Amino acid sequence: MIRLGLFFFFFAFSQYALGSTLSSSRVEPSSLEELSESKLLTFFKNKEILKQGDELILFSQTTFLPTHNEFYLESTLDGVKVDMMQSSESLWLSKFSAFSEVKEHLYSVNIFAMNKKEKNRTENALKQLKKELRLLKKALLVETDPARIEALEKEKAQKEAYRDSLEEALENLKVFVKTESFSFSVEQNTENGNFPYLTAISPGVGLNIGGGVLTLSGFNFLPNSIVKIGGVNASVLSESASSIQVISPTFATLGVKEVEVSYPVEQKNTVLKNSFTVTDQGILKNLRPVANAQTYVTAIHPVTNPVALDASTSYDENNPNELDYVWTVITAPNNSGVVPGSTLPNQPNPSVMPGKKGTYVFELRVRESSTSEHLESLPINIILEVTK
Amino acid sequence: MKHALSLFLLSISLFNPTVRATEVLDTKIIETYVDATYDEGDSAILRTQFFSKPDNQNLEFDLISKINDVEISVHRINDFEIFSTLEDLAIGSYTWAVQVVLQDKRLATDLKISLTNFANRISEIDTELLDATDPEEIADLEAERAELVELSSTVQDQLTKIRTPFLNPITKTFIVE
Repeated sequence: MIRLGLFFFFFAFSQYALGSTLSSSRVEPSSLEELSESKLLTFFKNKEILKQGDELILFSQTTFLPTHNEFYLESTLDGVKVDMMQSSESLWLSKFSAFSEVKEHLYSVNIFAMNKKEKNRTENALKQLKKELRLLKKALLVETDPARIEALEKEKAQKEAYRDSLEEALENLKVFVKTESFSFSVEQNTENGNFPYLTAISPGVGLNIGGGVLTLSGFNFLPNSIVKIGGVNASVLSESASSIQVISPTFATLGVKEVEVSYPVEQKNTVLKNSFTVTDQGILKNLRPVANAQTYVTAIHPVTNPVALDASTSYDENNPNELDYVWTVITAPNNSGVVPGSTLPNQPNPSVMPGKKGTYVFELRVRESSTSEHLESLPINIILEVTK
Repeated sequence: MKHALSLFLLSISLFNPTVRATEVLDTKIIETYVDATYDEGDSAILRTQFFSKPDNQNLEFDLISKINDVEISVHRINDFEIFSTLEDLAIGSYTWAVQVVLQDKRLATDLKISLTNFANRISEIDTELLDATDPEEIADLEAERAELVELSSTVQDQLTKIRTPFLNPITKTFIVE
């Protein structure tokens, strides 16, 4: 066994040494320059949309290299080195078990060129050597003769030293070419109950000097929430699984901000983009909501199904999603079942059942439902034309 | 002349997405060959011949071949010849369905080589597991095997994703007596 091992050892060494002598061809500097100016990698991932909790496999395919060289890749994710597996000569994979945080990631690949023959020869020698080391380790476990153990230990030490030198030689074969990067984002997982999910912040506007109480609504909030609005920490007043109250912090800049609730220990977070507007004291005022609707609707007589009106694009900049819808019938054909002066349900998409041909006119006003002022929009008219 | 026409139509269909694959059905792009009957225990060669290939050299045709709805492996000789073999046939009626797909040549090759490399390593691990006695080594080998199986599945999915069905599936039946 030992003799056979030694034979392979010296065979592998002689092959490696011979190869090193014969082939001194390294990566030419001129070709390096050309390579560094070209796009060398195509990135793709196993999922188009990546959500919290999803496993990800990132593929990096190298371009064709028409020389005696081949590429070697090393990668980092957000600056931390990650494993890569070479699955074919030009395809490399990195596997990530799951991402918990909603954020943008940067995957960077350092591209090296290596002399193909030297790399293969060194790798084959290494593979053989590692196999022999495994066998030696097994032999040492069962050997009882002290002299044999000493011989095996000596052989093992020699081979380990040789393995280290081969690994160093392999490392030295790498010639850095360039770095290429690929960014991808992890999105909110709203279906999996394992992740916090922020759905709203109220009010949606605040002063740059801070100070107001803001209520964050959502699901699956954990204890010890850290709330950031536009990257600025907000002090938490109270928290439950579905609601967090914070004091609005002081902001250095005005404008629309994102709100993030995070849990560093659990490495989870939830982000609501463009959800909070910071304004200065001078211009902060409650603005009138705006009624907006599809203003001309048609239907064919006889109408068999209710006709839906659509005012879902109405809005209130100060208090999003907190509107009352005041619909009034202005005119309608006689005996049509729709009575002038009557109202429709308080909702963005009420339905009517016009019983006759003719023109129906509805007025819509939207009104703030949560403020003390209950500001109302200017009215708009919606025409429903029922034709034959 | 006929080949020139089919190549012409094919090139139109590849670069003009509004031209449907069925529009080039009349021109012969592939032919499949299998005998109508075999004897029990025989081997069958299922041969597919392409009469043209995509003008775009980055693309290639490939086949998804199924016997009674179960996918079988295909062996590619070149851009025009692909075959599968069925050995030791059992008595019964068989339906051979062939789906032509269009794919990125280099990427498909890389993915297929990856699948072969994974399968080879899985096979090596299975052999190593037969001899392994150290529980730590066994656990490592089994973990590596499980990861390779999972990766194979992902790579196979990726291969499916990059394939666009080209013509309608072609089916042939044969009987083993």
